[in-house]
Amino acid sequence: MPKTEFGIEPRAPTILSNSISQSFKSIDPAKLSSGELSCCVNTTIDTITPVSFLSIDSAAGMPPFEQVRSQLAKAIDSGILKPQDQLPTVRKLATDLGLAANTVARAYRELELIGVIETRGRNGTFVAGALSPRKAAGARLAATLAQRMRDLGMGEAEMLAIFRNEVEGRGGAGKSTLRTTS
Amino acid sequence: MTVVAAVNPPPSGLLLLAVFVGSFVVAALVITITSRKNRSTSRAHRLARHSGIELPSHLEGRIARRLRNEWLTFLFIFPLWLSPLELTSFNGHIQSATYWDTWFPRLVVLTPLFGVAVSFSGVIIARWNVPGSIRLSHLRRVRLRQAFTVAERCALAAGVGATMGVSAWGLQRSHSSIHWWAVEFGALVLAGVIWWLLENTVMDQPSTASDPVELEWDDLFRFRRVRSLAIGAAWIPPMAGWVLDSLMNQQLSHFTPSPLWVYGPLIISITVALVFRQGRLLWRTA
Repeated sequence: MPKTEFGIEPRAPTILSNSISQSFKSIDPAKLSSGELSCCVNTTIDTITPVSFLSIDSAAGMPPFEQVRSQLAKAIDSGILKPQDQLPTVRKLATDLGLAANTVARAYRELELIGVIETRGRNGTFVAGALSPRKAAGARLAATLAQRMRDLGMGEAEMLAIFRNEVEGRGGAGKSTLRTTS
Repeated sequence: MTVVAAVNPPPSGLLLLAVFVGSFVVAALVITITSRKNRSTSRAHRLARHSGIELPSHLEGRIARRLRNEWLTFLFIFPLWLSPLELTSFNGHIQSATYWDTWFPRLVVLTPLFGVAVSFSGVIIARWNVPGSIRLSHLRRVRLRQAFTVAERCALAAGVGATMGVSAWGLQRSHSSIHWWAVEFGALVLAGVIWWLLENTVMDQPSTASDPVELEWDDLFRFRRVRSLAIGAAWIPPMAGWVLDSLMNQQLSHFTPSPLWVYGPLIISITVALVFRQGRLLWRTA
């Protein structure tokens, strides 16, 4: 990556996330053609690339905690966030994004449960290193399961709902579905 | 007292009034000229050019307004810390050995706290942006240390050292008791703690960005603020202390007033400004 005269690496390319691109659908075409809003061009749902920032669209259908969780997960998965990188504090992220602290804390908690991030007391929250063998095996199982459910034509929300019901021990219909597919 | 008054007779009330009225008129002229909309807009474009950042038309007005408010705040705050020094230097009645023995320790103890307070009040600017339904934030935590290069940190440490040196010289010159040396040290530590808390307050202020360009501007302004606060907190106290030291020294040594004491701070100011040019693009690391 080229560096500036002061040895500072330029930022990652600015590619807008799904929620932003949707909200920019109503922008003035004249501005687009003139290049004034060039950062927004060629951004469709199919070409979403993890970016160097988090974005929350309060008008979007997806719950805010899920937006935070999924974007962080994508950033870690794609290598934009590397092991030992420090995440913003819950309070800072919540105020930046205009969310309740509990919402951000929930997203962090879910990522921590699957071992993607770790909290080190008062030092803050960091991207975790390599997964433990137990968690790695769990992640492989989850990936297989997710793929099979996609093959059945299920969407993300449906998959998550079924899986959440199973985990919470109240998923009668979910159990039969999983048994059928396995 | 008699000798001092003979060497440097106290100015009349009319002269003092003329100085303050003159300052007011000059300040009003400067404010009128520099706060024109066109001037703020061209400053915004110049800042964008120097920082390598986009300035879309929908942000132009907001950025210009923010820069103008920043400048007006500086113009308002600057006389506040200059006035006590002006009063000290113009009031011939208080320029005696007794005055300096009594008041110098109190004044010099206040300079570190004063420096931090002045610096912080200079960077308090109203929110420049109105958050929309989309909000952006960084994936990583942005740390205060990212805002300074190694050389800049050394320059800040040198400022603290200069404050200690200037204070020690003045305290020694005014034959202050050990009590005042301890109080001065305590004031320095307290100023350091307050500075740290204020810096983190600025860093933790929420960004109100709704698109990536706004987030970049937010970073640029945030880094400018923490850097201004640090430079002011580190270098205003030694400058103010130096002025006090020089005034006291002139009076106690019965020297004729000399403008030589201005050159030292001037050279140091230029050096500090050159050092702090290094990190003007550090906001990109956020």
